[in-house]
Amino acid sequence: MTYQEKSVIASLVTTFVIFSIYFVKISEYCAAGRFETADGLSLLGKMILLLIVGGIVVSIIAHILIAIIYAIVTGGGEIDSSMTDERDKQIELKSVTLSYYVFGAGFILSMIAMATGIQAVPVFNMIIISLACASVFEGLARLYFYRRGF
Amino acid sequence: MAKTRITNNIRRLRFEHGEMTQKALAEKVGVTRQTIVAIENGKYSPSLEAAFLIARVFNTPIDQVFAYEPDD
Repeated sequence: MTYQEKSVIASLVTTFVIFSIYFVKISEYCAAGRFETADGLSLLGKMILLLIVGGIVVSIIAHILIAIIYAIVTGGGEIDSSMTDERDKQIELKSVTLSYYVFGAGFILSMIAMATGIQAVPVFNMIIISLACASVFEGLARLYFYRRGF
Repeated sequence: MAKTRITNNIRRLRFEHGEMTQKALAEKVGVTRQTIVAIENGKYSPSLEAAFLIARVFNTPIDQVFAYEPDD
């Protein structure tokens, strides 16, 4: 397995962890009725900002750890493992494009839900779920393109 | 498995040029070793620039390095 593939798997794991923590907290707050107060949307906004910042921090830490572990395992031999060439950029472009379609579909479904009268908090969480699905799909698409080619 | 219609003789040319390694070729062309592996295995079609650089490394015309084989 190449460095890029290991990096993608690390991203998938961190995505799963971050969004799992987020949705566990959201469900706890929902059960406690925290979103039904006047500050409900404000609380949701803070949770989403924490998700974004936390996701970035965890992702950076995970990639640093992957790079260190890979360097130790390969004895520093794979120096070009961190280099991004034309193939990496094409795979990234294709994967991100596909993820946009996934997120777009989820966003439209969220808007349909809102139009049918579903409250703002569940709709925002539907959008976050779309983001999570798009992120996972992008990672899986990258793995597919690295493994099978295109 | 996704295969491109562009075939190549890169592996044979590497061996004919002093058993050049994939890594050495990658460094001369400016891509990663994994990209050279993908090109040799038909999993990736290089850009025009990369194709010309590979041909230049082997001092060989590009049409003797790469060939296009349509599905029909």
